Amino acid sequence: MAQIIIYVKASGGMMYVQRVNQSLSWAQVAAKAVPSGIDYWVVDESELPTDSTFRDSWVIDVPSQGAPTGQGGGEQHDNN
Amino acid sequence: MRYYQTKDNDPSGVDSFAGDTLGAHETNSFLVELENAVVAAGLTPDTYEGLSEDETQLAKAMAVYGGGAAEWKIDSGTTGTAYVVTSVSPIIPAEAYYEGMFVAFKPLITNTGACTVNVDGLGIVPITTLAGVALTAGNISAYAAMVYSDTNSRFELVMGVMTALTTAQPATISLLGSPTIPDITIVNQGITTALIDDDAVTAAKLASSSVVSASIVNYQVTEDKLGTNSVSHAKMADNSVGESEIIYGAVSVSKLAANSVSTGKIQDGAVEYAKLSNSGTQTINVRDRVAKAWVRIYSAGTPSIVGADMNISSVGNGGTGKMTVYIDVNMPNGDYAVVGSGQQNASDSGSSAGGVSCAANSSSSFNVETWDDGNSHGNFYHSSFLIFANT
Repeated sequence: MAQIIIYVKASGGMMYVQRVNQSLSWAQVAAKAVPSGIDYWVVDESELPTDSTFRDSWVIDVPSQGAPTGQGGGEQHDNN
Repeated sequence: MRYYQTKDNDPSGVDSFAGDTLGAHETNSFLVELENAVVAAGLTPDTYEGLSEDETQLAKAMAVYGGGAAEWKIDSGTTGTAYVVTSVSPIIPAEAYYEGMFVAFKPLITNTGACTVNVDGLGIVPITTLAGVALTAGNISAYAAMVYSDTNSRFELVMGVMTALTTAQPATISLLGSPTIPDITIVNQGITTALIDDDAVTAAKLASSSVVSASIVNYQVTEDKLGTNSVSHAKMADNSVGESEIIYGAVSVSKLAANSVSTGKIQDGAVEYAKLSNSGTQTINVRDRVAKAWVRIYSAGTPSIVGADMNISSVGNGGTGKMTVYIDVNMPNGDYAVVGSGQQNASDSGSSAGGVSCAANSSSSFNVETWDDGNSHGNFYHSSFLIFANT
């Protein structure tokens, strides 16, 4: 099963990131795609809801995710 | 001559002194030895005495002997198989043959086959080659030079001249008693490289096309042996230089004539991005005309799917119709062009009024938003983006 990065957006919603260049480590992906200092988790993409009708309402149940995989190092912008 | 230092005088003889004191006869014997040496060399002892006497005559006699007088003989034989040679008078001949004795003479008659020689009456011995092989007819006629081998009791011919040297015709020389060699033939590899001085064989000594390819050992002609521009294109046969013979980097740009490399000479895949012009002159800059990154994303399902890409590290999904595309190798700066297009639904035939917007965030990412035909954010069936940037 493919994996993805998830993290909590500045607006409170959920952002997920798909790794395209499979030669990159998750830390390398997060260093660019997760805003600096933000916790992220690497999870199976099967954990995402299959129905995206209410995509903008998706949130991460942070306590149940346990310890984050790491923290990002990227930039903050409108969509994240 | 005798051993004066070890033999006492005989009082009963011509010298009356007893013991080891030399008498007049013995003293005269010294002088006779010297006189014989001088006279045998063809010199007449000086008639003067005392201070006016020529005291270099013994030295002059030695010069005569050293100059070959004792080695040169006169032939008086009457056949081509038995030479009879004697020293030139008044030379006193050797007492017996000895190892290394050198004798030269002009034969009166060309040898007719195996032959012998009798030198100064010392005895009849064979004349052979150095290898001991009997001579064949004609080996010696104009001149013969030979060395005595005491071990083998024979004279060995070291040189026999067949024809006398004249201005019109050079001498024909028989080397080591071998048959006549009209022209010297050099056998294959008879003259090794070590015997040829550096630069001894100039180009002018080589006939055109005399050195064929098969005669050149692989890698024998090193680069430092070739003058600048000495190997022109005309000297190379078609396809004679195999690809494996060209070391990587050996053919520099300066070695290629203008337009010499046509498209057909370039292997598929050989031209890499780094070889494209990034000139500041826009009309010849190729890199700026090449897309720096592109991606096609299918967003109808969850998660979205990246169909194909170039230079994309990841794609982020921030909500309905909101994505961020992260570039793998960053652009030089955030000032680049992003071009996007999309198809709202798989069944759309071009009548949909949805839209795609995209804008650069930074050198490493750009944002994408897609709107459906109701002017609300919507996930498109697929959308595609590409980047152009200055290098």
